[in-house]
Amino acid sequence: MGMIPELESTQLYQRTDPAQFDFRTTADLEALSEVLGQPRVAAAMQFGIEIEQEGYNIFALGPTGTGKRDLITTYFEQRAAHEAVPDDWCYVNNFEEHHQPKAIRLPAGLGAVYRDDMKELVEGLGAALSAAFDSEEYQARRQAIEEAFQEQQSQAFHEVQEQAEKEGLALLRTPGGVAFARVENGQVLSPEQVSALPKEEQQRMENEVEKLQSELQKVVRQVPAWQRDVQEKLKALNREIADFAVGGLIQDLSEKYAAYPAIIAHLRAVQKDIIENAHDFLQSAEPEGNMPALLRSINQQPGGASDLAYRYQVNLLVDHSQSKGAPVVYEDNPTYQNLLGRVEHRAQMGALLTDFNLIKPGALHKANGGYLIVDARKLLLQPYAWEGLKRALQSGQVRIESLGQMLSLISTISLEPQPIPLDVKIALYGEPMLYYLLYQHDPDFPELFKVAADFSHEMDRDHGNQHRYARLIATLARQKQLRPFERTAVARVIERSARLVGDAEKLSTQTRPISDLLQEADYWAGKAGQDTVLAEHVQQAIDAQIYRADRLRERMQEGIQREIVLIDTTGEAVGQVNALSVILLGNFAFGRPSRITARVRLGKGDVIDIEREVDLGGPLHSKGVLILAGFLGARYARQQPLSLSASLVFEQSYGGVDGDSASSAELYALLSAIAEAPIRQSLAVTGSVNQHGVVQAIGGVNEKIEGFFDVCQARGLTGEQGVLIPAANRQHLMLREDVVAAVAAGRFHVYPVETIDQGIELLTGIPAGEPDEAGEYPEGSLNARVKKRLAELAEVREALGASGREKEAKT
Amino acid sequence: MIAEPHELTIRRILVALDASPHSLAALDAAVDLAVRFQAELAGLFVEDENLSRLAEYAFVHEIGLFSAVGRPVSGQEIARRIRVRVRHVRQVFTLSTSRARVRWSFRVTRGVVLSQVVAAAAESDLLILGRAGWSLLQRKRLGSTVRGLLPEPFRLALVIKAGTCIGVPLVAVYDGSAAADRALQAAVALRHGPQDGPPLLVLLLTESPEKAQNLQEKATARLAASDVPVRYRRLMSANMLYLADVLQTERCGTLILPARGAVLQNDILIALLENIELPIMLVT
Repeated sequence: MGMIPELESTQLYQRTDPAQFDFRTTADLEALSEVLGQPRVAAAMQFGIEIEQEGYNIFALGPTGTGKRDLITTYFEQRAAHEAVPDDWCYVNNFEEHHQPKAIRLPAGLGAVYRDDMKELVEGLGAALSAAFDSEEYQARRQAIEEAFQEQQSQAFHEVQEQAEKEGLALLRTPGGVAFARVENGQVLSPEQVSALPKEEQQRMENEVEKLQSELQKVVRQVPAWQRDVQEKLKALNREIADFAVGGLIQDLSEKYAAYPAIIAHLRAVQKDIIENAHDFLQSAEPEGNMPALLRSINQQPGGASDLAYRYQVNLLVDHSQSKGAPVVYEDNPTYQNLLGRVEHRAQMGALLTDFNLIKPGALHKANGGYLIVDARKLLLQPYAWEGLKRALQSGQVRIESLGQMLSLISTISLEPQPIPLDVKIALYGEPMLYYLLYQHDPDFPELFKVAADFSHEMDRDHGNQHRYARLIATLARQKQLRPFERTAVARVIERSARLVGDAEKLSTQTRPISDLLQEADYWAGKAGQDTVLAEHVQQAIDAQIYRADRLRERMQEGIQREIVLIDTTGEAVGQVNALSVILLGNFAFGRPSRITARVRLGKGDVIDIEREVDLGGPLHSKGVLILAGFLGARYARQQPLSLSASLVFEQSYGGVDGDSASSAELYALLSAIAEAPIRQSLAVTGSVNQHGVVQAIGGVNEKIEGFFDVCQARGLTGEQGVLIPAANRQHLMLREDVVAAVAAGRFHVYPVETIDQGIELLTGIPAGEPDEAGEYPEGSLNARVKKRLAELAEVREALGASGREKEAKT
Repeated sequence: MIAEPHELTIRRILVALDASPHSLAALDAAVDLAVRFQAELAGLFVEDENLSRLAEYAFVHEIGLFSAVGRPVSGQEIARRIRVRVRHVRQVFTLSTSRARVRWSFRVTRGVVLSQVVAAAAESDLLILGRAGWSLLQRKRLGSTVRGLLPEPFRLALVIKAGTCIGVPLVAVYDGSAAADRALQAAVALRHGPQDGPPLLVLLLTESPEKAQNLQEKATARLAASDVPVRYRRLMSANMLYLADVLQTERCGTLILPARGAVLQNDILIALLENIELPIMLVT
């Protein structure tokens, strides 16, 4: 088997040829109206919006920055524009059950009209009632009733008094009531004066006093009944006058709203309530009333018992008078109350009071009859918001309950507004993990969100898509009011997009990083005084992004250059290989070479993963190492026990290792150690391996190659250095320009490796050797050396085993 | 003979208090006038001796006006309730006077109310009292103290009903008597100054127009020393209903009447005091 050819520099970077574009700058391009690279999402959205069955709400899942919210909004708005404007909703006072305000549904725009009409009615009401109750007719009738009572009372007392006077007795007022006594010259007779009277006279006086006392008691007992009678008469009079005063006003409105039974019912209730309470309102409005100032001020506060405006006005909860089409609402802060509405309270004399005017709508009210968009993560972070939303969707109505009420924490009287029927299409959006967690753990979720709009983070990089991508760039540039991008700059952005997804044949659908890049490139173009953005500005933006983020990478490279971290880039060593790992910090990923060493000795066939022994290795890494043992046993020790003990370690790794992308490097180190064949340190390796020795693709290939290249370049490229990558990763290559240039100049090499045999040949310079029909490898080949060494170890182990058995037999 | 005009001076005002709504209205008016005249305000509460005597009769019961329950009258209980009332009156009095910053004194005496009030009034320039005390028949009837006051000697007495206060225009009834002359002086004194409010209305009480002319000339002469604007109107009779109608037409604020005048006898005064819902000043 000959050495595999290295990759050409042209294979390391998939360029986008600006010449393929038929525009000069993005200013020549039309805005992109379609969803780019998300055909599945487009179909799901279309379906989700059009289907009218219950539970067909939408969950848009995808990585952040893929424009989920914008896309949902666009779809909803397009649809909503052609739909009918939903009805208005009002809350009005329930005069029978004040804590259960009534909801009234009215055609769009009529709510505001009715609210204004009622406001006008209330304003007119005050004047009409004042006029009615100030009228001479009312005052005269009222005075007549009161006068009759006074006369009745006076007459009764007067009769008793006259009777007393006839008997020479006077009616005296005491601090607690009245009493009768004989008076002469304004003075009550003294006991001595009474004693001087004849006995008969004394007895008569005593009898008269007792009789008068009894008479007076009868009169006093009658007074409450007379008072009640007066109150009844006054009430009847008040009702009669109020009915006359407001009847006309209410009648006008009743005729206007004859077609709306709910309004007619409300108007009737208002009329009845006014008639019952009209006089109380007027009294409370009189500043000179006898009521203490404090109580009066309370009564006159908004919402006070007799405040006309608050009692009869209309709380317009949802107003569509200015709406065009169905509403599309995005709730930025989806708390329980912001979604389902709330009842506010007003502090008054240390108590919290509320009424139907303080009912505030939630996003569900505003979006009712239309569409609601909510960030799933924000929703789930808000206590009880998710439960509240589900309950509303399940019951098909919005019921406003305070959290305290819902959890039975607060037992004070609060409002229980009449629930409002709910007809809304909801779209949640969030990370795929959220979708799958909800789907798995919340049995209600699949019932309520049956449409998944699954956003892909990448799309094919074909000619058509590249052209569409150019229009996306044009759209974003216009949205952000950026300079037009030259087609070379567009090509560079597209190349960067491919690099962002780590695949030369794909483009990123995450618009956020692209949008950031465009804005930053525009900044650099502006700094250079250019009217258009050129490729160099895009490159400048990329370089600046990397520079801002790569402090740690630089520190690690420095550690290698100063030989604090030992990485050889020249020479050879047995059981030692340069592996490549990727470190992801925030949104910045970079490659870092690591030295892997392997040592072997006589043993029982176990490969010890030192990382795992000290809990620094993850399960994927352990899996890779265990595969190695499988490979060794199957290939070299089919007929004999695998009699070695090997240990593998990531040198100078203190932070934990996971992933199986270093398993091929570990196998190379192991083979080198067994065969005692030195490995070229000028090469670095990445790739996972299976039990058959096939090298498999890994992630982050670009970063890994660049990581080793940076180390070599810093030390000076020798022309020997290079990287072995899995052949399957060829399609992912979008390497940095300097790497590509070094390869083109023959100063750096990238080898696509398909098997372990290909790799070990490159690394050791020794042919791997193909097995013959008997399974034997050619003499001198690396595989033969491995097999021979393992056979020797097996023999030694066998010999040691035999002598051990002899010793046991002797004893 | 025409009395020489002299300046009406009010240096000491007596207000009779019994904690009834009328007497509290009287206190407000008294404080107002004490400020206006910079006079000393003397409060008087009379512990009614008659009430203590009631306790001495076992057969006399006190009938509760709300409960209609008859209770034996206890001397201690009566005394206790009177103490409570005195305390209340004293509090209201000191609060009102200290707010208005007037000189004041407060006295509690014991005896028959009318005689105590009359005696105290002799030491004061003006007596102010409520139309009725705790009378049962407040609406129509005049209190026994006001009724009894009329034949007694006094100089100036202002009778106030609960819910009213001294207002303008001032209306003085003039019948040419010496008391009527003093009533005109009182009217001038009650006004702040010549430009203050509507003119003084003088009702010339006479049936004949000629006499009215004479009375007007006489009144004009009496008022010449002051620059108070005056309006005259003939009052053909002292009939209560007629006078009430005139007062309503003229929107009278305070009525000033000569007591013991040529025409206004006590029975007429009582009728006026009973039926006219205005502060009424009686001048002897």
